[in-house]
Amino acid sequence: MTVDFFRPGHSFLHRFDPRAKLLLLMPLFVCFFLPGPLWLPASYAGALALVIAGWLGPRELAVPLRAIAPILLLICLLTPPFHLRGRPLVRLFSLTLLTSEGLEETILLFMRFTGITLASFVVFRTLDLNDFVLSLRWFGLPFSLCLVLIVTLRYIPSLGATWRNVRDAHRLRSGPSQPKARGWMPLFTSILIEAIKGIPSLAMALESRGFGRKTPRTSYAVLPAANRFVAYLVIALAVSAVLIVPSFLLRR
Amino acid sequence: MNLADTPLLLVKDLFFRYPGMGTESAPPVHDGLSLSIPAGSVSVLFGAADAGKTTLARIIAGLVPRFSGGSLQGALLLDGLDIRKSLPFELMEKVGIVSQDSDEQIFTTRCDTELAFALESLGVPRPQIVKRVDRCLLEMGLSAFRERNPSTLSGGEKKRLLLACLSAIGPALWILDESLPELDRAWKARVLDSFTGRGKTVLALASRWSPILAGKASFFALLSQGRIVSSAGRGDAPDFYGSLSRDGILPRHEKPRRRDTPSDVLLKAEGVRFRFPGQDGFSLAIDSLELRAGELCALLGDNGSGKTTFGKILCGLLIPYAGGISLSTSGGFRKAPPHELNARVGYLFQNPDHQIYLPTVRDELALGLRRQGLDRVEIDRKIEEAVELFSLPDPSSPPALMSYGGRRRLQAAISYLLPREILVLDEIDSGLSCREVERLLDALVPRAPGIVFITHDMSLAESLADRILVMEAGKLSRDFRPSSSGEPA
Repeated sequence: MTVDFFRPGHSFLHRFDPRAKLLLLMPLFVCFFLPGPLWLPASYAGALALVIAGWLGPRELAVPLRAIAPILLLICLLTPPFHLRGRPLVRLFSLTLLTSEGLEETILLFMRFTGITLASFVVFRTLDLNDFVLSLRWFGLPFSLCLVLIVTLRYIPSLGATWRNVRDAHRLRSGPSQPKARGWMPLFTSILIEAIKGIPSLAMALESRGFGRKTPRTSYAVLPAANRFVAYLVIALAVSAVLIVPSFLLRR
Repeated sequence: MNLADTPLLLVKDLFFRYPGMGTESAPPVHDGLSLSIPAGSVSVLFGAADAGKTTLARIIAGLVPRFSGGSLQGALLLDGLDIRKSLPFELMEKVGIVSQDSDEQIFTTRCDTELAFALESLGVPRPQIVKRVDRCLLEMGLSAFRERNPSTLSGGEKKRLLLACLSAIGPALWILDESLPELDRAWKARVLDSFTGRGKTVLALASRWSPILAGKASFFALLSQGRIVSSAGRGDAPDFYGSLSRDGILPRHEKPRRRDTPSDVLLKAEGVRFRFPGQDGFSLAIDSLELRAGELCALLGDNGSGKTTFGKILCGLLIPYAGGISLSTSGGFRKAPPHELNARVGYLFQNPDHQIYLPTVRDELALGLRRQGLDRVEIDRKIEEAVELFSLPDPSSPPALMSYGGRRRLQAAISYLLPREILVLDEIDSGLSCREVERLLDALVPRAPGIVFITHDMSLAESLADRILVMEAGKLSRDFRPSSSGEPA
């Protein structure tokens, strides 16, 4: 079974031109690092959460949040001890555990990490891999590099599936009581054997399907028409302005 | 040999040897192999596992020795072109392979782009690519899977996807490397009819006799000890049939040795319901099934009917959302949790590399024995027994360098040494000759009280099994004893 990040759909986000969507990713990232009041990144992250819940469904919102929950917990636990300036908020005897600066820094890091994750999620959850690669080719990336990307994106989930197969096979043979540290080595070895054996097979498959020919390649998949790209680019620019301008207007 | 006037493929005095390990030189795979495939014919090249069929296919496609190294001599002409002077991408319109392991050939994330890749390489204009992709997906019954990730398809569906890929290119010679056994009966017939109907030149490589293939082909050859030892225009020509029998390509029509006659119930599956999360369409529903001690069951069914899924449920690797598997205990039958199923029901994976990972044959065989708490002397004795029984190489040999057939035998030997009440053997016949399958079952049947082997080969099932279970769309549709054709079990 494959872990495929993209979920097909017909929402506005799915229809959004892939090139404009990729361009929009940059201001979506940048806005979380611009100076401004603390509520600004919080409101961006909140807006992204609303976009995901509204267009993709509330359940979809849980997917990225569940994935990053352990890291968010670490941020909450480890940031305050490194930022002890400002008004003490929580003390244990003579030991200061949380200060106003520590709280602000924790919220900021929390919001940045959550925001970037939600931004990536909203883009890649609604972006078909083929459209992604076509967009990169449109931006000028050579076909061989795009192919590397396709193969990598194909093989990462594939290795995941192999991992599960091998783990199952070993569980049947060695039982569940095998010590954990020792149990990982055979798994890694099997995956490694599979991966190494896959290299010449992949090369054979690619050359058998014409990789290496001098003939100019044509393309089966096509990107939406240029006028649609322009329309979505305008929307992307407007969203970018909404994301960037407030930080300059509200600079502390 | 029946040489046609205009052979599409001409192989003369072929010699090939893979590079050796260290100072040792590997034995030759082919030595003095000559073969001629007439244009517009369906030919079958039989050979046991490790006879060199896959290597020959790869040599013809220009992939070996390019990607493997090794020493190649002899003449190889394909449609007048010298194969030895051509690169694989230059030969793609002349020859195409559907390989035994589909996962080796699939590398994109959608079925339609998998088909389109080769056409893009050939520079075919987009409107034509779209038409050809549509036509080929329809031909192979995959139109509904157009946007699906190929890695989520069943084994037979992947084979059909690869056939569709070849159909899109339309090479002069199609090489099907053990590709038909994974297709169900209806698809086998449909694919073969499409070949004969359109006058395609096909070379099918097979390790077992297939009546359906024999009925469509017009040239047959047997590859053994690196060369063609026999050939005929009809598969049932007496001399040729005799050669196939000697090489174990034909079933022997004799059941494996049994320890018991079918008696006590070992396992009950009741009200089992299963569905893969996030996948619509397929669901498994087994209302009731009992497996008895001393019973050799064959599990058959169309591609995607749920055979492997059910096999994995039996051994606790997949957990149903309703119902379950009960095993016999001293206090009667009790629904078994997954870890108990893991420990009492064995499962032989289709891919040996998922089960074999240690440096030597000895390490592989000893692992399970050590976990049973046996002493060194007993472990050595059992290893010696397994090595002899399964014709394994020296115990110090590295499994990674063993042939496919050898790794399959090692996999079976590992299962043999594990005390399991029931063994599920997933496509144990894949890539093996009848004799090799019979040998494995002969060794395993007396060891495990109950055996279920998954296969697509009805004739093999009829010749070996005591009971045949047939699955259709996730349900058990038939349960009968082969000798009484259709009589309920």
